[in-house]
Amino acid sequence: MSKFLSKIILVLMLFSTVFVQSVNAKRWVSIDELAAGVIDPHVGNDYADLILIGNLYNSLMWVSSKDLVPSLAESVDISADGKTYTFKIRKGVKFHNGDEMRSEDVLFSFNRSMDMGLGFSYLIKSLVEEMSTPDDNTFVININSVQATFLASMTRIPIVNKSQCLANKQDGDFGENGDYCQEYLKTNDIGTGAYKIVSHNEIELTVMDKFNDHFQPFNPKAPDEARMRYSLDATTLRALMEKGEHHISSMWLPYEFYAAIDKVDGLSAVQQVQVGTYVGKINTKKAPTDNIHLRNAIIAAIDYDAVAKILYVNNEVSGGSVSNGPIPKGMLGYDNSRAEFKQDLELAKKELALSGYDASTAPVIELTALTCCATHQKMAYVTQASLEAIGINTKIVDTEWMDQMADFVKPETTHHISFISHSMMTPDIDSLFREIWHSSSTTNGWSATEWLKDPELDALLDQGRAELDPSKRAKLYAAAEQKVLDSSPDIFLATPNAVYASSDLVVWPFQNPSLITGYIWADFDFRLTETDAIKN
Amino acid sequence: MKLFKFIISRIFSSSITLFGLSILIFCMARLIPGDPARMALGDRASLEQVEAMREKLLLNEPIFIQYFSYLKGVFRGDLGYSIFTKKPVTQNIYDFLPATLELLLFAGFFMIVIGVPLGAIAAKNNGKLSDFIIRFFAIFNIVTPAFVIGILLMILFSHNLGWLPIAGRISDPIFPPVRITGLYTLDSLIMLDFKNFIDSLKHILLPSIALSLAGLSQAIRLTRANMLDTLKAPYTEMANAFAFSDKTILFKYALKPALIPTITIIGLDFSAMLGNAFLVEMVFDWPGIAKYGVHSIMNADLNAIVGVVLIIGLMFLVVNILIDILIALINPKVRLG
Repeated sequence: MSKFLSKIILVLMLFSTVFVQSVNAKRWVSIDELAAGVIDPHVGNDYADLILIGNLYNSLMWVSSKDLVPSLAESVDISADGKTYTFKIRKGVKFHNGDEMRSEDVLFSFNRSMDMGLGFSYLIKSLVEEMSTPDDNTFVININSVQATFLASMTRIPIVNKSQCLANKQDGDFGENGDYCQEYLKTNDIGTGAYKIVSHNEIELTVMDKFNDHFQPFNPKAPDEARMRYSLDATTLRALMEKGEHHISSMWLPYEFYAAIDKVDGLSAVQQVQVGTYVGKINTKKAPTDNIHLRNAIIAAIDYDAVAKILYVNNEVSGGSVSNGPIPKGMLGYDNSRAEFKQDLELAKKELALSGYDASTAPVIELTALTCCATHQKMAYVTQASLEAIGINTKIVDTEWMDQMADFVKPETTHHISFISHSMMTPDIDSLFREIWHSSSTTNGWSATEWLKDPELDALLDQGRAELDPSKRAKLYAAAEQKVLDSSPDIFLATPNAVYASSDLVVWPFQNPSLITGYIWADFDFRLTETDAIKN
Repeated sequence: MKLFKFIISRIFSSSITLFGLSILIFCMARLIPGDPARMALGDRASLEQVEAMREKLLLNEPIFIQYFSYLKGVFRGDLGYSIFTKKPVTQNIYDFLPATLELLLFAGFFMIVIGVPLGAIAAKNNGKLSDFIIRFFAIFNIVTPAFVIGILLMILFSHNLGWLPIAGRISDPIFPPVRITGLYTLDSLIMLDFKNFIDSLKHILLPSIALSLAGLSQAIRLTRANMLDTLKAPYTEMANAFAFSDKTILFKYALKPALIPTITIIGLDFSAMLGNAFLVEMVFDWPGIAKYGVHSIMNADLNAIVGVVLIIGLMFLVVNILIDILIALINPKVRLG
């Protein structure tokens, strides 16, 4: 009997161990991005920051699939003149410390963002005239001019807990607001997001736990814990992923890495279709590329099949797909009847003849090959080969990113052709056009190195921004697109995809066609992620 | 008293060296291309934001004004603001330096504790198989970069065999020990947290071995070469003639005199490890000052670059002073000279 009893006790002990382990077991994910991760919601603006902030905080508006939807706002009413936005704030939303969110937190957040003048404050700072909170659940904002993009800008102003911020403020430059708790927010969060900070070291590891009182539902297999590591070396990353200690790489590694990872059991190369454009930017203000016929010749000469090969990872995954123009598929003004770009050497030669240049008279064209990025370098080589096929001489210039940002601030010091992939920072087509082709964007050294400076295009874009009727806006942006195409300031290489190496244990939101938004700051939504990675 | 004067004079001359280093690195950092204000704010910041940041960072002022402003801050313990981490550089150094110190201490320990005995064994067995194996091992480590060795060790011991962790300072879900020194192994021992101690030890083994191997191999070769000389010295022959034990001859008559030049070079190698630490920390995702330094350079974070170089310079000088004191203690001629 005692033997039997001892066996029962042993079984019960084993069972309880397993039970306790399963109770303590949690789902988790680990991602990687370039350091540093800044978690202050009104300061961070790089990829790592946006992923973290997107999970720790919420904004009045957000994106769901491709649509702009209310988030912390329940609804929004826009006045007839388009200058007053009245947000009904969702009731019962809790901050991570248990406080209930109110309209005064929204007002405080907007003031914090604009007073500090960092992050994405530039989207609203020059527009806001007045803000008010008629009651605990209403926030009213008056802007000084009609801006169809204003609602999309709301996605970039996260809402913070006013009382918690002021309780943790230190001495600073902002009067009674002190430092606006900037010091505190370097390692803590005061948001309403689906995840909350557990620990944060901006070059080593950030750990976040699920916030169970979040106002939105979680995927049943959403991670209980999400981790971000920073700037992992490729070898280290691969070793960690093969051991199941990490689940997704950053998008900054060579495609050969993803192709190699794809051959490992349990790991795959995956792609995130992005809303953006990958272009070879042609300097329209520096000879000889200031000649439109030469630019037409360049665009027609490009070997787009070779471009596709550069972007190829495997039959399911690539770094991009062939483009047909400036506006990405699915965005306002997109023309799906226009054909995709193809190499046409006959047209290229014809345009070259019209330009008045030939191999002996054309100055050498400089092609920027950014040393940080293998893909950009390969694009430079393809461009070189394509142009030399029609007799245009080129020179590839290896360039550091910092050199480009410093040098490309004048047309005279900007190389003839440079390569950049643009992704949209707000879910409005204006953000892409403005960043690349509006005159206000030049001199930052990277986004508008076409130096287009076309007053007619600027006028179209300004009209598009001020037009609230979507169908009229679509026509304006379509006209702007045609203007861009007629000016030939860019080689439209591809609609970009971000490529990652990922564990098969995790299904990221961007792998789900019904969830993908196309924006990195929204597609790494851990709340919507499914993970079968379990740890005790 | 003479030793005390010696130490004071070394500290004084080192301070002048450090001051000169600060001027040099301050100016050189400003040669790095890129606008630190733009790097700080990101590539989508407006021109107005960038200009405001330039004013805040005094980037529009003449360089000597920038330097004196920086120097004033240094005397207050303020090494400026890191645009990369958005924190004071002093805070970053406080956070990240202990990890590198711990790595260096372990690497230095292996360098001496393994390198010197192996060199002695090679010298004693001159011309034999063990001598050949040890010398081959030493040459291989000297010619192979530390980060390559690190990757090979990681693949073998972490990935293939699974004996040791791949990266980081501590395993999940173990939490770091309460900070006393910032050295995880030491802090966990002080707190009698042996689980944490073992885990920290496992994490530091591979990166510290990778970092130590070049210096360790130098120590092997130097010890061997110097001992071959001292083993042939007349006083060693005399000791042999008087039938002293092999152990006494080896340690008292051969090794001890051979250590003097060896320790000097080991001190320099210890400082050289600071340079290798950059890549080793990147490979092993070790959150130390060297990894922070790499990110600072890549982001044109001027204050952080100057801060890191000054700290490394200071460590270099301190190590050299300590080596000089050690030599003075070992060699009476230096002490009394």
